[in-house]
Amino acid sequence: MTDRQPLGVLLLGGMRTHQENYARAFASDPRCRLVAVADEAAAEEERVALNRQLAEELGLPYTDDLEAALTRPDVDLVSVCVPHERRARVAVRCAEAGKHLYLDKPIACTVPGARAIAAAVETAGVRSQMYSFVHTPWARAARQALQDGAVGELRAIHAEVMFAKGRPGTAKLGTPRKQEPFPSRFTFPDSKRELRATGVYALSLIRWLTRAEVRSIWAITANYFFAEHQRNDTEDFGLMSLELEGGLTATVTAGRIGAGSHPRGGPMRLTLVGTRGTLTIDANEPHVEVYCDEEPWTPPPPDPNDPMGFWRSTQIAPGARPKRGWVLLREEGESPEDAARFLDCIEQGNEAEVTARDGAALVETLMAAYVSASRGEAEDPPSVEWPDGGS
Amino acid sequence: MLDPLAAFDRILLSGRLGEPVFLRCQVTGPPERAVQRLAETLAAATAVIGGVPDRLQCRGDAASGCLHAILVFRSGASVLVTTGPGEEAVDGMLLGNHGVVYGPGAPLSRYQHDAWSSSPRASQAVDSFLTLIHQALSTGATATLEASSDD
Repeated sequence: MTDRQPLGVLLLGGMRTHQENYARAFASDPRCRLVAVADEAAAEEERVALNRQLAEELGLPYTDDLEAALTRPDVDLVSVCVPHERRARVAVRCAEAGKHLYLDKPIACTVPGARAIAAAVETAGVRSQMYSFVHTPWARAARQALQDGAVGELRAIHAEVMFAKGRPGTAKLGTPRKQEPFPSRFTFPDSKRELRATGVYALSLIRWLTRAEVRSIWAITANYFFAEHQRNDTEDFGLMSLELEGGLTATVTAGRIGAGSHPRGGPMRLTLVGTRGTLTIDANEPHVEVYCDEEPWTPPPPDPNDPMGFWRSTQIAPGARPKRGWVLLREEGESPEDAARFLDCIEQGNEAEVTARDGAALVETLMAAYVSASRGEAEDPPSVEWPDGGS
Repeated sequence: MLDPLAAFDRILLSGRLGEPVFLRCQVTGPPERAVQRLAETLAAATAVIGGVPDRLQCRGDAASGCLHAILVFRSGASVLVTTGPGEEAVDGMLLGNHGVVYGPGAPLSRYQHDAWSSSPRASQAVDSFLTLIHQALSTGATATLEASSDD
């Protein structure tokens, strides 16, 4: 036993953000304790109500005085889930206040903003981690396979991450999506920019497995499934073709494909292609399949506040039933693994496996992907001239 | 048509998936056959998607058999084909706007090629893709497809 005080966690952002999950993960770890929910004083009215709702559910105080919250000596780390458009400014401020940063993904919505977070973290000497899938069993299995030389020398990686949520079939098809090169709005109640929101999982796995920088990216975005995404001029699907350092190549398939489109949460897999063979590691394998007299799974009635079923609170709402046809062979549960590994890093003084610096590189690649999709040409991410703006 | 794509095509015709929007094929086999298999799969995928292909992005190393290609159609639909060394097999996933069909990887010996694969039309499509793949790999640029006469 140690007499070390638990790390104090300040939650920025509330309901209908990934804070619903992150807060639970931190709350379940005895090495830390939740201190408060906070946000900027100028936060949007609806956002404040949702922040207060999470605070109430967790039995925590809510404050709109972010500066005061950041001066509290019992706050050691901040879980940052404020809206994308304010995320960089807030994260920089938290790092400057000397707090460790647990960052929602992607870490920012502009390249200058993401770089500012990474610089602030390094200047302050605090630890940072972006939420990702690198601590999942399937990602660890992929890394172990590479280390064991299962495919020989790695030549290519193909990463596929798609979420089976929402009611598809409403997008108008027939013409290619016209992509703007520098999207500026990222927060919508009923859609996300999926190339970025789901593509970041795949891209971060590729970066983590290869430790190689992206030399060239070619991408497309599409509206295949949802009228909501189309109405908001946000893509529901994206594809990337990448050239990495060392002659490696990679692809990313990302999107949201409809609740009934997969027996579990969605297709998620990594294919490692090497000089000696090809190996696919699937997040949904190995599994057993159950067929019985239960009523077949049907999607829950759409929640007017979360019609796409983005958030945990909607997934567990009355009337919502989990999919139970496929059961993975390994033990399942709500894995707080990613947050727990960040606490390990803070305790042991180690760098996280996906830091703010990695997060900044990922934002650069993702935003270059939009430029490529707009121009129809491959882009070299470091060479793109980004509009000003560090929010 | 090629391998499980024939089954995908039949399922599409049943109307259960809605409109086809994306097809992913992961092909494994001997490295020296990778370019040919990539072209064959792109030709078969074009038949499944059923529209007019517009642009082809292709990267990788033909010598090691590690290639990938993204084919974009005028309708906005897309195809991703990847190749890698291994037992001759194909793994596919077809997304429609109302549903998905998954074809888990299986050895090619389990499948029979039907008449489409050996038809003059298929052979012409494969030859066109071979030219485009070589062009894309040598220039590094996205290849633009010329419209066929029956657009």
